[in-house]
Amino acid sequence: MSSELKVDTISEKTSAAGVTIDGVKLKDNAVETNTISEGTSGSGVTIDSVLLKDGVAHSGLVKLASSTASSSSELVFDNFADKDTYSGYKIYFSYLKAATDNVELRGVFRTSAPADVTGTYVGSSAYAFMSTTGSAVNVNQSTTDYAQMIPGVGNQNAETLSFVAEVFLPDGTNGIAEMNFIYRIKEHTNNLQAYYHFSRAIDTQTEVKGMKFYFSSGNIASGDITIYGIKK
Amino acid sequence: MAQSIEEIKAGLESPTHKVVNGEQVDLTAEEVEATLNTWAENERDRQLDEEANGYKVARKYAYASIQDQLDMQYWDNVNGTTTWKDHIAQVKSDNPKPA
Repeated sequence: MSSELKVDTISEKTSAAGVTIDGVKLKDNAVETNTISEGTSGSGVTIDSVLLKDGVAHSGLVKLASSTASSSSELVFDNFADKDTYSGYKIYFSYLKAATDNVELRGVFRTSAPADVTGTYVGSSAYAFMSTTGSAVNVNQSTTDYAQMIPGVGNQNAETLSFVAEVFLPDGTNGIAEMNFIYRIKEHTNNLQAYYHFSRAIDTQTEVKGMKFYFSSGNIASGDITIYGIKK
Repeated sequence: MAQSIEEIKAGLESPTHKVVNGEQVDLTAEEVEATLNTWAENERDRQLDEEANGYKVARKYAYASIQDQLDMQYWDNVNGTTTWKDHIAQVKSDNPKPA
């Protein structure tokens, strides 16, 4: 048997005590409780348009995808991008380790098909050594059908790669596909620590929906890549 | 001298899978062979490039900073020494251009 109470106002009886309903206290225009749980399984809880779900606030930085390499030839992330929802993406590379010595990390943009975005990827970079003198700017670093992300990667524990790439994608009308990132590396050629700033792009207006990453030769021995969207 | 494609392939661990959207996807025998060939060609290209242009990279690292080179040139001019010229010559002779 159901029952219903229809009133316009429930007010506290004892001054400053608030009103308690089934253990939840309402007091001074606030809800005092320790837990708010989702009503529908898998839906999360939305507060003023901010979705809280699975321990994450789905506003601002939103985790979209994550993969772990284990002697894997490549890590592919298809169709994570959503131009209507996200204004850009942050890609975290954590302890990415090459199986083969002296290789380069490469990245490729992907269409919704999904298929690689082919053509000329252009780029430039600047570096400065961290423990000795020397710095320079490298220009006109173009490659065909892939972006050279980090050259001279060794396969020792101290040579794993951890860095963040900022990625902006064309929406089908505006922009081009670009990634910008800063990283530190113990260079294979001279064992020196260096700080690099890279920018890579391909002049395409095709809507880009994904990316893939691999080394020029050999597997990705281990490491993680996680992609976050920056919500509009 | 750069290795042959077959020599490079012999030294590579064969790929077995890729990861697509977090899921492991096993490679077919044809994909394994194609990936190994691509890796070997990329490595051979790197070795050939290093043979042809490695001295440029080595020289870039060995040269003193522009500030230091300007300082050398100033004092060479004041004192009639050849510090800067000797430095450049030393870097070039230490990292010779391939014949």
